[in-house]
Amino acid sequence: MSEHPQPSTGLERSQYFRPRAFLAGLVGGLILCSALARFVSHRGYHDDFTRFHQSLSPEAQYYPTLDEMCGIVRPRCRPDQVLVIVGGNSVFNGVGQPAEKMWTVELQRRLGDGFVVLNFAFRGALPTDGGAVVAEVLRKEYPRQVYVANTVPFSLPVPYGQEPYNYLFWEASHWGRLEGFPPRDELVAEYLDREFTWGQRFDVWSRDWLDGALRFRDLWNWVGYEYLFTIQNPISPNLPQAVWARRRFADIEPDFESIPVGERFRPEYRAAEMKIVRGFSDSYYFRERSGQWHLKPAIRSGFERVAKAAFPDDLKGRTLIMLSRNNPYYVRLLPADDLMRENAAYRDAAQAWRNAGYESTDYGSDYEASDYGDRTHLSASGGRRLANKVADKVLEISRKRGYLQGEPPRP
Amino acid sequence: MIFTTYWFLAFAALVVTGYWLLPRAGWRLWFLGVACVVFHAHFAGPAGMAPIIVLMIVTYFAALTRDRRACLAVMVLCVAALCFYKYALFLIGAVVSSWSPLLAFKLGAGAKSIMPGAPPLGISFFAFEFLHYLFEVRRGGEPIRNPLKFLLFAIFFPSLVAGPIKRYTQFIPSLEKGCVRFRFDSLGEGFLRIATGFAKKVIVADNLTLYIDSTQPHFAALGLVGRWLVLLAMSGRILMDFSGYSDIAIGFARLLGITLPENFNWPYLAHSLQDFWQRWHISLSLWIRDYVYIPLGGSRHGPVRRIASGMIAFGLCGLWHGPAWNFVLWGLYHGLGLSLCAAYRRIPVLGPMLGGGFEREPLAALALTQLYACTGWLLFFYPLPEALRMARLLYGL
Amino acid sequence: MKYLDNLMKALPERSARIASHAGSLLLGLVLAVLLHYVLYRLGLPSKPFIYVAF
Repeated sequence: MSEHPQPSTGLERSQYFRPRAFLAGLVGGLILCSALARFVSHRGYHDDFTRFHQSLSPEAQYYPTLDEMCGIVRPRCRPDQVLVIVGGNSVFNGVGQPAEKMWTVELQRRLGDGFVVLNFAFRGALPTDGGAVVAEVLRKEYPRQVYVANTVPFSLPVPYGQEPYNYLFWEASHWGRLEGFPPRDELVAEYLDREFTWGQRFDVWSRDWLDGALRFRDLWNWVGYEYLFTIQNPISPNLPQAVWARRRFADIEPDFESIPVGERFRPEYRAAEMKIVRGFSDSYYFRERSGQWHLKPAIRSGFERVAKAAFPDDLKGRTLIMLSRNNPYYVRLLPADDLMRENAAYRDAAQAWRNAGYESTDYGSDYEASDYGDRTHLSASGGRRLANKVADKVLEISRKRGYLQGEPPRP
Repeated sequence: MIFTTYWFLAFAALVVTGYWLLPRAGWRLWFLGVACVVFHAHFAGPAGMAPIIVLMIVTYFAALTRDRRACLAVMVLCVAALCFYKYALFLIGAVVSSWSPLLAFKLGAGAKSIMPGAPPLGISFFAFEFLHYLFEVRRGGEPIRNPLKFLLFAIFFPSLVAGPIKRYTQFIPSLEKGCVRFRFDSLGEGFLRIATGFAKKVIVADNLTLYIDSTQPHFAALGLVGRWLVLLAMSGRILMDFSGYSDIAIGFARLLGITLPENFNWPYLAHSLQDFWQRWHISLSLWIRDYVYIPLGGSRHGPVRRIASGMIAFGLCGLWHGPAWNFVLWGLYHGLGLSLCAAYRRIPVLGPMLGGGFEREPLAALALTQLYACTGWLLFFYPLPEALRMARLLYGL
Repeated sequence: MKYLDNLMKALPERSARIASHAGSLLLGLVLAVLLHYVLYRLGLPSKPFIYVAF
């Protein structure tokens, strides 16, 4: 080793660097970026929106913002139309249904022009994630709205959602765009105290505060959608696709109906799938001496508290929770006892949601194996059946809440 | 990590603003001292602060005495603290367990019960800075008498977490000069440097990380070009990540009017391994040179001693990066390379030929140097068996 | 820097001053865009690998 001089930076010696002009450019540039972000997100840019498919989702490092999602609603829904936002998980996202055969396309067709259906479901999301936040944020702009989501019996609908989608809840909460609702606030406060240090809470709050001022997420989502995507992601890891604008990625969901029914349910996965099917109810129920299955009191009370806090009271009535039943191919393999427990779980869960003030029912009990592509996701035929059931419920809710003047035209 | 949190950005904005709003230089130093303590407390917690507080106090007073034995004793204490907090479990596993697994288990359990959950924040950096300070005072340097200035030297928040490793003879004058008057130049330069650092880290390094994470598990299935792309990505990632962090640290110091030493100088343009280590993590390589290599004899006692000193110095340099054998091997790999670099011209016939060739074709020297350095990253990031497997796949062996 | 020196010396003084101000302003704008982007990346919920863990 030998002595060597410290390298110097050219800037320290520069006589051409004008710090005041530089700082003016810095501040002015931030203001311009913020203004551009507000403009593009308010105007909306998802012209061909179908749903948040894999390339437009957090799996691909694309995190749609609140304003971006509101910007999808505004050009599509007139004030005289009823806004139907679909939330929930991959089942409601329409995994296994190509864009043109999506169940929400059928739902739109069934409901007609008086309604606008938008699919804001995300893979692995809770009913309180994604679309739920957007629906609440738009409650004053679109008071005539129905929110539809799916879930499974007694899955806790925590109001703050779960990773990776809960950023939308924090964004809306920190920007003051959610309705004040003390039971929800209490649950959120408990969660924050339990899970986060003060520093972590400050980080999330300050991210949202800075974003509220500078709108960096809106701007760079727009750039990534329209021009150049800049984050390496596992969905499109190789060049040049890794940097393609996200609008170039079509919604190319594979079609379950292209697979013969006999080949959809592989025997080697059956044991694992049956374990999941049983898991929907076995840890929640106990058997009485009479032989009847009863929901554990702790499960009931825990669920009731969370369900009551999940949405504000005046939004519960417009919320339809659909309980997703498993594929009858697997359900039929359950012993009679387990089947009785499974049915009890769906019945009790739907009732629990209704007791909490929501509309709720299940679907799938009268479906065929061909209506499914796997244990839980529906094929296009299953999607059509779901759309029919949901359409009837949406119309029922709309009438109850006085959204309609006369019946909507039926196709 | 720390620089990439909003807490830190808010903290830094408040500190820089508050610092320059104060009308007097003395007040600014106090304000900065409090800010550094708050920073450390926030990220290290009370348990993490205890070691640095204790070491700071004993180092400060030992240096004031200017007693050589006192300084030496505290230097030993600093090394012992570093070894305990960072290397105890590794040393127990590596040394004790081979001859007495039961004793190793008991020692390990005992060590875990008194250790904090993670090593104290920045221990690798502040321990080295204290060692440097005591070494220099011991050989006649002037100690820092002002306790506030010593505190700032010890826990200066921009460089505490990831360097550069400071020299007190540069830092204190820079601190004293920089706090006197606000200069727009410093503000602009600092912003530019911070932006460069974040660009390197966030735009380049983080994307390369995601690429490496998704492709490295399938390394064997990649084609030859794909494997070399992964190696290039790894080499690029570590440079951008680390130099980006250094840029951010240097930039924030500049916002406060303080100059920190440079840490990277285009290392992938180096024409030899000696040149590489004058460009890569400069503050560390200078520290290793001044406080390990030269005290061991350096190049003053013939080639055998030089090679031995170099190998020990670089083995320790590797170990400094983390408590694992692959880091030591990486250090020794570079030690070996440097020894070869220093001695190859003496090989009869071949040596002068190679030397002349590299002088005529500097690109060949650059290519060979970078090939050696980049291949070395396999040892840095992966355990030896995995690193060897990947190297075999890269070189088609 | 040598080219910049030559260029600036070739310009009349007033033009050189305007050019240096304009250049600095442009640099500030570029850095603003960069900082805006960095804030976006920092805000992403998922955090990838960080090299230094001392």
